Amino acid sequence: MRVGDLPQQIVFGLGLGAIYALVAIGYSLVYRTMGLLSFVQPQFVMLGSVFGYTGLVTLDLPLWLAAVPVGVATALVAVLIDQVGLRPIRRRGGAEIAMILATVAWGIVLVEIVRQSWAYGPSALNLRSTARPPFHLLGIEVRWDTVGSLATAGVLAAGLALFLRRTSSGRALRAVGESSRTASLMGIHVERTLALAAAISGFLGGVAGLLVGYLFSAGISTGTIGVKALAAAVIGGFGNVPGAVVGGLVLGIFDNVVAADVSATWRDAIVYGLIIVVLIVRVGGLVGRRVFSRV
Amino acid sequence: MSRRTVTRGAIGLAALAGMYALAPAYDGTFFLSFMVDVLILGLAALGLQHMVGDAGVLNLGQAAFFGLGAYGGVWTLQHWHWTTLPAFGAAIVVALAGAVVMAPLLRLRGVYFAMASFAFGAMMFEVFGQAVSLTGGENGLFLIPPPKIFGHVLIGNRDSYLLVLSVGVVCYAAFALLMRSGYGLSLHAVRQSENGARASGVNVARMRFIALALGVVPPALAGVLYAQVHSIVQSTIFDFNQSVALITMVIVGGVASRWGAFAGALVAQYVAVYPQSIAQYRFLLYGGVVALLMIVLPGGIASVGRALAGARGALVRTRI
Repeated sequence: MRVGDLPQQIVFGLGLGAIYALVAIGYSLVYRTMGLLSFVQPQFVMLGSVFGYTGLVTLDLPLWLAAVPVGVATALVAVLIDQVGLRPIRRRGGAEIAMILATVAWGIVLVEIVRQSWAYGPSALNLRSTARPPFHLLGIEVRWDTVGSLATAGVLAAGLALFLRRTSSGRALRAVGESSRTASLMGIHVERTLALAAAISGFLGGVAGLLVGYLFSAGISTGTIGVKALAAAVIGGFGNVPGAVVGGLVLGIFDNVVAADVSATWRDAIVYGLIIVVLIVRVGGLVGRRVFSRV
Repeated sequence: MSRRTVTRGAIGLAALAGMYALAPAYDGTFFLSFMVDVLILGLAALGLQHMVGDAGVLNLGQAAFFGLGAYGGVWTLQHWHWTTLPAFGAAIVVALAGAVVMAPLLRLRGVYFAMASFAFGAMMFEVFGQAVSLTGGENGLFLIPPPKIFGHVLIGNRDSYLLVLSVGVVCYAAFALLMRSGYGLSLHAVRQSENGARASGVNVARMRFIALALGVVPPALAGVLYAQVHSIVQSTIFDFNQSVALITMVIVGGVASRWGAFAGALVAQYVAVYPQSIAQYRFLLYGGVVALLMIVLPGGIASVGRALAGARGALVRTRI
């Protein structure tokens, strides 16, 4: 391992880290409000990448303009799945495993619908060749797409933070996150709030998918990036929304450094191993306070 | 013996006789090969049913133990020319080693354990795929010899079926007996109230580990059987989708039901193999059916009789 390359790898990793962060926020928000480990979350990334293909290639929209419709379309799908597929189970007080399995099943349904509609999926939405040449900062090469995805994630995370603190819907979300029972006694419409949580997680996943399509490729296999983002949510403390942002960036750097300096073949195995190690060593995540509850 | 026990025993024996009667009746047909795969998957699901249904250990990485058993057994078959029964032993040892690695995760509960076991399964899948010198990776290991027991080589789907069915019956009976023993009663107590069980002197952590260790035995055997019946193992069959398929079988069959594991395997494998005319939409159908079942039949197939009898979804409230 050449130490001189490390800062370069860290900067490269931040671009992917921003994507991980967006997906991880979705995981944590859904867990915080619904107590659910959602395996449909990674497929929102897949969906976002495919919607992104429609927006960027078919409709020829610029990237910044495509982000909102792609996010909204994915959010609609997320709400639909939540209301049709998960709400009936939730209302009955169904077992945890039934909920988890339902999300897995909906993930399969999404992948298969896309597979049928787009054949084997658009595979090359990589527009980097048309992007501006990278610039150098303190001798480190910085790509514009890294800056772009960091900025996107930064804006969305900041927007979410403001929304959660300043608006009544945002405060309702936080209240449900603390205790849905108490929140409902305080007059908060819990189901509507959960739908909102689903919408936000779908929106963030969709935008992350657009970035994945832009930086790498679009298609039915991009869900794997969303699956790996679970590690980011765990590093940040599962259910801890600000932690998810930090976890995403940490995972992006870790992933990239491992791939470049340790082994590209074993990078995924190492990332999954990291989930296990973090859960054994510090369930509450590597960021923030130690958490003992909800384990 | 109560009348109900006698009736249930009679139904069980009749079903068993019927299962064995399938072998001569359907010798050489595609249906019997299909049933061989159903039973192999049912075995793997049986172990998972013990973890999830009997012990509340929500394992989302069961395919890893299926794979560990397969690779462990096949190594002895190919390199040391062992026969099936000793290979079973090797497969169990390798799968138990995996269970020991998973043991520290058992102190996690609920979603956290689900997540950790998912990560374990995903990690092992990567290992199976990348450790090509041991596993053959995605291309797989070829020319695995057919099952050989006490000098008899079992070739053809009739022999395979009888072997797999017999292993299934032995495992099923073993778990049925275990659940009636002191171990089963303690496990039952843990599921009812963990603190209550602890106060009565049950070592909860140890019970959870034993349940995990016992639950990896049937998939390990299933791994060897799969490899020998198909004469090939590829790492791709031990992916997250397989773990999901196995847990789907358990839930679809009814989480609290031992035979439900096999019923679930039958349904899942049927959807995966039979709709030839809509083969293209197979997985869409599969996902849709599971999503729908979680909504309309959370207690699984085993609960249908009870649901018809009017006892409302007692299984829904079974603590997992």
